[in-house]
Amino acid sequence: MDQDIDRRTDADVARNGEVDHPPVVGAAEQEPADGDEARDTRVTRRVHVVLGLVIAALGAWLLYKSSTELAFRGPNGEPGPGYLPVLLTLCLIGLGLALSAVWLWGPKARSGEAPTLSLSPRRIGRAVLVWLALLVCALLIEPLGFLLAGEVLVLLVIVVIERMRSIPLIITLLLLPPAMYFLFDTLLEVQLPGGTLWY
Amino acid sequence: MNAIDGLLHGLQAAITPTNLLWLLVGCLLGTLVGILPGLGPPATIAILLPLATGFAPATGLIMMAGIYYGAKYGGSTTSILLNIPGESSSVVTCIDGYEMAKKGRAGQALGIAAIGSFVAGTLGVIGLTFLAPVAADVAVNFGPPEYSALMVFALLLVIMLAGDSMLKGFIAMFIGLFLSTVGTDLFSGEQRFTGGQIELAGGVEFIALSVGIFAVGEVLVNIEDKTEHKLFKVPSKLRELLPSKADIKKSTPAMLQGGIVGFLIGILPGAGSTVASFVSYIIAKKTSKTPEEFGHGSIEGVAAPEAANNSETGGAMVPLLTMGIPGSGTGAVLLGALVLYGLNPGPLLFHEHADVVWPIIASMYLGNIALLVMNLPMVPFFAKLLNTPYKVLYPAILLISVVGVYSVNFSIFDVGLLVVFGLLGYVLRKLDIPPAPLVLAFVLGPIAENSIRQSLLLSDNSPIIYLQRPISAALIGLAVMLFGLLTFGRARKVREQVIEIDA
Repeated sequence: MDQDIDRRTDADVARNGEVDHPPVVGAAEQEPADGDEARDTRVTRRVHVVLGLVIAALGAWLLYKSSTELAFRGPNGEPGPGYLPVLLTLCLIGLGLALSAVWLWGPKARSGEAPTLSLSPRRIGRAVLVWLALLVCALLIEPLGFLLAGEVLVLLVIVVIERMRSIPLIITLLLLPPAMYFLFDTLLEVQLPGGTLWY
Repeated sequence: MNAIDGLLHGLQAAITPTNLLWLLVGCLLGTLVGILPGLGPPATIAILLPLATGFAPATGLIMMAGIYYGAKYGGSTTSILLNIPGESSSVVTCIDGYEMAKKGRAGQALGIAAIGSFVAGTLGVIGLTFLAPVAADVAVNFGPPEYSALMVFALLLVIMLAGDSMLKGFIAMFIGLFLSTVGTDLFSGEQRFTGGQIELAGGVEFIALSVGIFAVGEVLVNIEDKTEHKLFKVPSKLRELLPSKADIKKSTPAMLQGGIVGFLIGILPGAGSTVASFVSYIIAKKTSKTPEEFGHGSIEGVAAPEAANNSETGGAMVPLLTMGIPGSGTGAVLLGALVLYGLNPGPLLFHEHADVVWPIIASMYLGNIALLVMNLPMVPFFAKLLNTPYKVLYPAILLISVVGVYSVNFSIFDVGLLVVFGLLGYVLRKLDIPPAPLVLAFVLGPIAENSIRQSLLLSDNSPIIYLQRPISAALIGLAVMLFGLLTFGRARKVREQVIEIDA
């Protein structure tokens, strides 16, 4: 459970604050200034209120779909295919609204005691870039096959995300897809997609 | 077949060259992937699961057992050397393990973790051997009402460790339950939320969901921070890794206590290894002759949680194999593996598939031995692997995830699901919503829905049936009590303490 929350790191917390060494995480996670803390608290509160509303809205949409497309009861009055989805979506709506309410009016949220989320745009941007690279790879697997789609993923990591200059690291990464293809497709006989453009 | 006969039969079946080879491969692969920073046992097993599904059930599940043990051991390596717990249960190991490493005793910490895991893991498997058949005999009398009540109880227990907010735990659980309804309704044959996609008719692919949420989600969180972690020097000679006689003597009570506590807590569905390692650490500190050393590099502080963490595996197998109830995210992945092999975990498993169950239990004994013999000498190699820059490791993890998910059904659609669930896993972590209840609920959802609908069919739609049968009434009563305690009572304080450690 590596929750990304601005709390003291790992074992330090368990030792009741007996921190006598610098935290192992990087400088990016150093103690924020008071202004940053206040901003984080404000952002966290807003995010939770919006999150609760989004969950409630999603639940309402799914409730609409469940109740209009699926029968709540079967022909003999027994629970139908929509029985559980309707109950679950009702619970989701309630929980979403409760989450918003707790973060709007709850004592911990109002006093700023609740833990804050770490939502730095720079860090999120990096993760989103990696996810987009994976998405591109997944979209290219069918037409190009695993080998080339894997190379595209690796190239995106080398050129766009990490901007690597170390030749040994670049070579290692470029060799990853063929090494995996050889291991899985050839040695373990797990057939990997070859690509519709070539077949 | 009684426990002794079953075990002997299982050992006979497990000790074949093929099974032993794959057990060793499982241990090695589990450790190799498990030590990758940030990848805990559920992610490791989910990534490697497709590899094991190509074998006969007994061989594949023996390999899975090896992967499970290897992944758990791998988690302790990163806790001690990098102060990065692979999963929440390893957080307690970080406290004294990392302190020992700082004092130049990383080798001894890794050594005692391996020995403690072996001793307690063996204790846990002995407990499993004798308790599982008894539990299966009791559970064989369970009907749909008892099962649905048990599911409600288990899901509530899982919420106990839901993180900072119980609300968020419930939200994750309900999302998981909802996702489990996607696909063809078994009672009416109707399609639910498939959007006309034929690939969703059989439901959302479990491997895509678990690898996406656990593995890809963790990679995305880990990649946010560009900083490389500092690694302590690890001795290259085996002799330097072994704890001294005095260390072992001092740690023995902690190991034994951890073994017993871990097993007992592991039996409770939902309690999991985090609680086991936490409680065992507290007991070790309270009973130690040198409690002042705890938090400053005490070897008992490494032995106790590591012992409990491994012995919990045996305990968690009791509800998993006999009732089909996983106690943690890892258990949920293992349950998925059993279902992939066409085995339905439950009371009849021991009667209908004794030829598969007993070799798995026997292989857990062998897995413990294999880990001790194989992994201890390989610690310097694992440490070298930890020195590999993460920017090389994460593309490899992503590619393995793609291969793993694709190879289950040879479906590009599943790879798409992996990408979607990877983003969901990341978003959940960023918003501090625990992913484990979602995955557990996804696994338990179909069982819960079937048993609820069967119960209502039996009772002519009257929910009173749950109160008319003693076992289901007792379980419903327990669930209500637990909910009350979690919300208002002392259990909330215990939960908060555990969460504080977990943080």
